Amino acid sequence: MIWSLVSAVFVTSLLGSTHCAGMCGAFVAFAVVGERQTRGQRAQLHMAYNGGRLLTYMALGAAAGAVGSAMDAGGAVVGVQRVALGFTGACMIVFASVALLRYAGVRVPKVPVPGFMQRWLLAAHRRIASWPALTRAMATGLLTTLLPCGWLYAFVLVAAGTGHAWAGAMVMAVFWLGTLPMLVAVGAGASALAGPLKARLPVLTMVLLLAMGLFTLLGRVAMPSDVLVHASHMRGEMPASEAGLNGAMEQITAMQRGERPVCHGN
Amino acid sequence: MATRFDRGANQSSRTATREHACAHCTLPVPAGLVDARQERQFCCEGCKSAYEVIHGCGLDRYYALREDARASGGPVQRSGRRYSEYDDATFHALYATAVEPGVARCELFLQNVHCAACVWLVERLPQLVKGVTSATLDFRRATLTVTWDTRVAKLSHIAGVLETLGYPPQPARGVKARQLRQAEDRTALMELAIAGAIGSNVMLIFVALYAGLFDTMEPAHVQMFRWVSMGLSVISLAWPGRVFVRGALAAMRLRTLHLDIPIAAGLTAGVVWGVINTIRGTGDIYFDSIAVLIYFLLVGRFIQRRQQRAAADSVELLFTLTPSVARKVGDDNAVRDVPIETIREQDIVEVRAGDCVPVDGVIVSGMSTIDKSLLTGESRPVAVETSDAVHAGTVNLSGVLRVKVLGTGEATRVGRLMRLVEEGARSRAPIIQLTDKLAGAFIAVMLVVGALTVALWWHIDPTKAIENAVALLVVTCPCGLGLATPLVMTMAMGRAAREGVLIKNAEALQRLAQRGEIFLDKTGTLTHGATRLVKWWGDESVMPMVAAIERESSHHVARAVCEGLAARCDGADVPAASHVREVTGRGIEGFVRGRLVRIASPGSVDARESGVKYAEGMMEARGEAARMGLSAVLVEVDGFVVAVIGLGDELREESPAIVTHLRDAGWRVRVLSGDENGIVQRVGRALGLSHRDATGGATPEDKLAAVRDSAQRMGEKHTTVMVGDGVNDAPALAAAHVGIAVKGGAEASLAAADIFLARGGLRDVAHLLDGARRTMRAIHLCIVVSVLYNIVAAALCITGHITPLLAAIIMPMASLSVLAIAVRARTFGGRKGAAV
Repeated sequence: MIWSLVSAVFVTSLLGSTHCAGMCGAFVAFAVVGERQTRGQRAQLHMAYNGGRLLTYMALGAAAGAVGSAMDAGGAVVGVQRVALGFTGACMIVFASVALLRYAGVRVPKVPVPGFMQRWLLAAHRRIASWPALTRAMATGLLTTLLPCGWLYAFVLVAAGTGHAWAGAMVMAVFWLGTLPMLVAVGAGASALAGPLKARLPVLTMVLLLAMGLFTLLGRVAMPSDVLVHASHMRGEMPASEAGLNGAMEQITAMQRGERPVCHGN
Repeated sequence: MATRFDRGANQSSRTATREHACAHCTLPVPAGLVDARQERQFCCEGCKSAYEVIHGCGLDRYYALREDARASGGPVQRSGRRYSEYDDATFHALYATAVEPGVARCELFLQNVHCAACVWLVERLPQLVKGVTSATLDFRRATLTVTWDTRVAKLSHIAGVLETLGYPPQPARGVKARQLRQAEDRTALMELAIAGAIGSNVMLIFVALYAGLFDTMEPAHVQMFRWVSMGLSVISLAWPGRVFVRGALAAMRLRTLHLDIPIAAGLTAGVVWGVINTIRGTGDIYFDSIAVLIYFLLVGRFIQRRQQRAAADSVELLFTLTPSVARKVGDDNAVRDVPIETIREQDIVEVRAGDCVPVDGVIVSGMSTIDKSLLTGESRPVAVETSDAVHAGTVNLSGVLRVKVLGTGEATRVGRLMRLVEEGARSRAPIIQLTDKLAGAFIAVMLVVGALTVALWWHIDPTKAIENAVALLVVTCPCGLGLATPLVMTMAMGRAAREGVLIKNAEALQRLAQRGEIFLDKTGTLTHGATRLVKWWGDESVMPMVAAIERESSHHVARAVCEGLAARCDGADVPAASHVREVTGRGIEGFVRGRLVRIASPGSVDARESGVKYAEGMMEARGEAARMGLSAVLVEVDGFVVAVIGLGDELREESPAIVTHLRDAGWRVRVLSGDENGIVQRVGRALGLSHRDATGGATPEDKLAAVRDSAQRMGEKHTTVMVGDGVNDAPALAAAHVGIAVKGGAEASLAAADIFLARGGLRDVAHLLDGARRTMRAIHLCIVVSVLYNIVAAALCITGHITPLLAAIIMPMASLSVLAIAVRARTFGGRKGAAV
């Protein structure tokens, strides 16, 4: 049932990746596009850049998952189940709501981004500027994680919600996969991919994120037992997206029971 | 939409309705995040961070370029070009393709594309111009592929916007051909994928079926599998496999035999047989073979086509002789790189040192030296200056030239040449016509043998009849005949062209592989083609004095003497000469070390009124020089002829060996020249020819008569080859079976001759003859391999040893190996050829 979580994360990430193209596109362009490249060289640079991203994303996901598992463990001590999941759901809702409110014109105070991140990032980029193309592309990819990108960290929250280090890493890997088409397409007609939807997509993705957060949270509230989720899912009563999110729930609860989620169900 | 605006259509309303766009990613900034105090607005912290990094790394150019694109609607900076021709129907016919009704695509070459931001910027075109649906910039080729709605946008408007962005567009060349190829490849690959998917699925079903035979599968399931496999196979034949059926039908309509006929017959027979058995619910079916067969046949065909295309490209390679970009000098005197297609007559282009001249034209300013070896074979640089003509394909060696264009592309000398060669490649040599006929007969025989196989196996084992016949029809392949022969020819001609041997028609190549008579025009082919000092008679101590006088003159005799003396009296000091004067028709004279030195022709010496005394033996030397076919120059010191210089056109060092090589190869070598008979006889003797085979003093009419006579005697079995001057010997060149022109400019020569040698030596003639022989040998090898393969494979099929599936695997492999022989054959160019 892990595929429900995977597909939910993937679809959301894919849809939201116009944001990535806008924000990281510049970095991709500088890392990957150069004069007199062969197709192979360019492919290598793409691989290096995106490989670098994948590495740090997964590391971040694993760390978040570990934090989540610690939260769960702490919660269990005081008798509250699945703390991480609830926390994740709540955070996602808050995050998406704030974003949507801002689009609606409401001024919400900003959370200050720690200044050292900014400084590190700049220093690092300056340092790698003179590196050979391939290593530079890789380093640029690795540094992506340092960008204080809300979208990225929303998925880090999801990773935390799984409450397992390896599941967290996997969530981030899937998120990476969703961003991949857009970031590879940068320089090869990225604008054509997004089309007229482009300007509306930020709002749309936030709605999607909100829905995801709601379902995460509601799933928790509406679930008296894991058996019920499992049964309702098997009957196929839920709409696809719901099924996906509840599937995620289920997978997470399965993990909490210490079972192997992959073989769970059929 | 906020970030979307159309410069042309709606400029005034834009600013009013525009939201804030993120300074980094340009997506709309949430209204709640807009900070009016800030100069720049960001949609999120991430973008702000990214912006600061880019700013901090000094890469602001990225934004600067992007801002250009969204620059305010004030007066735009343009060259004033309206690009109205871009909306012309002929322009569209030439450069654009219709994707669907109302939507067109065009490739444009953009100037000034040099960094990633350019890609970024140009690809924003859909946001900038309403109606543009996509814009993709190929950075490497600086080529933009733009797709637009023709009802909404005009290409001229798009071009205008591109220019505003700083990328003046030009239509890209060679797009049609490439697009056509890409489309072809795409279709072929798609059908390949479909055939592959069906093939593997049918295979899976058959694995189940075969397994089911051993286990106890329910009959209903078996039937279902049979029907599904039938359905899939019919789809495979009707969709990807239809190329074979279509080819076969077309061939039948034209009443010719084509390779597709047996294949289509085999496939159809197999499918029909399977369908009958499926409906009957009993009997063998081999849809697995059919489906996979179609897949393998298509794979084979795909590879083959690529292989052939690579071959055709070797002729096309010639076009790389001229550059595709020229430096055009604009009205403002600025020099821009533009694609050669956009250059028109009367334009001015700049050619820098080391550049290949892109056009035919006249120099309007500058002086330089030009390497014309491509066109004339003359490898010595030629000095050029204002008002001299230059030609495309030659190389500017030293100075910067500005050239007024008189012709480009096909209208240049080299363009006309390449067209001749291309036409030549298309002409069909007799052997190709022969192999075509053979291939036809071959197919007819195979169809008959196939029918016989069915009949035979019907008696032995009816279940195997169709299968074996299908295998036979599939495995046999006349590729070695129908495909390899023209391929070898084309490749050989392409390679020869790169070696400076331009072959106008394929038949010439075939004839050169035979034996016969070869007539050589002496000048330039056998000899150096320039006057040289051959012999010195008399007092050698006057050599420095002669050199002192002669070095004051630029006359060609004087230069030959100087060069000759420099080699002979190596190291000796050349004294100074005074009062040197040159009298036309009388020679040159002057004072060296106080002595009067006069160097003159015997004629002018005889004509002199005051008598001249000859030193001992000099009178005889004068006569001997004449007998040797050398022109004599007399050296007179203080009224005494003390030395005689014999000047002549010397034989090239390699000539005797090559003539021997030709004679060993079965050619009768004859020299036929317009030069004085004595000289020609001398050359003939040096080459070891009998005096009958060396004819001097021949007029063009004499040459024509001799060649014609020889051609009649040689008939069709043997060949008469004339090697000569492309202009003077044109009639004889045309009368010979194969005329080889070595002088006189390529395009004039090729009008009469079949072959033009850019370097006019005998060595190239020998290379050519050897290459022709190797080419024919490769063709014969292909035919032999192909015939042997077919006989063996057919025998195995008739005896039931090859299944259709195996046949489908073997056949492309066999064709490919024959093609490999064809492509790898060392016809021309030795090592270089093998590497292609």
